[in-house]
Amino acid sequence: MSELNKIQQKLIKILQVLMPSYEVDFWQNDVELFGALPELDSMTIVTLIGEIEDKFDTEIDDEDITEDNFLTVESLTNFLENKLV
Amino acid sequence: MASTVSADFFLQNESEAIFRITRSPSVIKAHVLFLQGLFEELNINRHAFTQASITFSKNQIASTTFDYFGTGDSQGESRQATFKYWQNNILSQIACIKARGTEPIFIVAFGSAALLLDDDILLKVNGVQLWHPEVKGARFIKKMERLDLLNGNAALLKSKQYKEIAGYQVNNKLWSILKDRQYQLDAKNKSKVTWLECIEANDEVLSKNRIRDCELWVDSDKLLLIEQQKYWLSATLIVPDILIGYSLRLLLENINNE
Repeated sequence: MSELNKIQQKLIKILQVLMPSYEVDFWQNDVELFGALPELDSMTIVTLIGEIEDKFDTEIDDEDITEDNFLTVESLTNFLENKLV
Repeated sequence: MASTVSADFFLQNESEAIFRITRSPSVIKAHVLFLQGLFEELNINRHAFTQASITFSKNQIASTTFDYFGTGDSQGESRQATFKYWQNNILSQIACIKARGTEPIFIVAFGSAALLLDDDILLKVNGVQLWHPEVKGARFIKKMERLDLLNGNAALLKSKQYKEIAGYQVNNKLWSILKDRQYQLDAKNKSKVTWLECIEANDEVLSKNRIRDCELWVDSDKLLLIEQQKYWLSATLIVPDILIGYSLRLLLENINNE
């Protein structure tokens, strides 16, 4: 499994814990996050960031909390790959 | 077993009426004081403490939960609240429970409530359970500040007298104390405090972050890893039955050892 896939699987696992009402298959690359899912309000985004920091043992700068980075599952995965690898 | 639920205002002093809810079984062998997390954390755990209170009551354990001064239904504005006020809220509730009986008293604290605890409080109770505690004030404050950034209220963070976070106006001094706060555990109180950490079913170990957080507890029987979905993260309401079950068993063990 590529590093990118590993990151995405880990990310999807976090998203599943945060929003368990969506089936596993729902979380595809093009699923929009920021502003698209009703469950993903500001508190949930803050929680998502906290969980990413915890699970990936990293720290996300406030400047990186942008619509572009958090737009879709794919964009968030790519952002994390760039940050971690 | 029947239990009585009462909601009242506890007068800490003339200007501080603290709203609290007490659940009392007909026979009481211990009392739990629930400490909710601060600010938005209250909303993600309230249902868990309600269910825990019902479960504890069926096992002859009374419980009290209250709103910190300036929050929820308690008197005062959040911007008037200070760190000391909130610690005094806890001490006053302990004193009130002590005045009513001689049963052992235990604290069950969720998340950022751990930041309010100190040796003075610990000395007055028989035991403490920390449910997924937040032990680093700076991290908690960062989370709250991010909330405001996302809500587009960043300008309010720069106000001279107070900050406005998720609808709460918080004075700068309280903010600064919380930010500098690191939960410290005095050796003489270590045996009193149990850390209950939830881990997801497929997680075999704690994250590095959490290992660093609970380093004082690692390798001791005071750190309990519980396979329980992290209910407070979920946008769907989840009752943490497994965590509550562990918490109850621990309380009953502690009561028997008293």
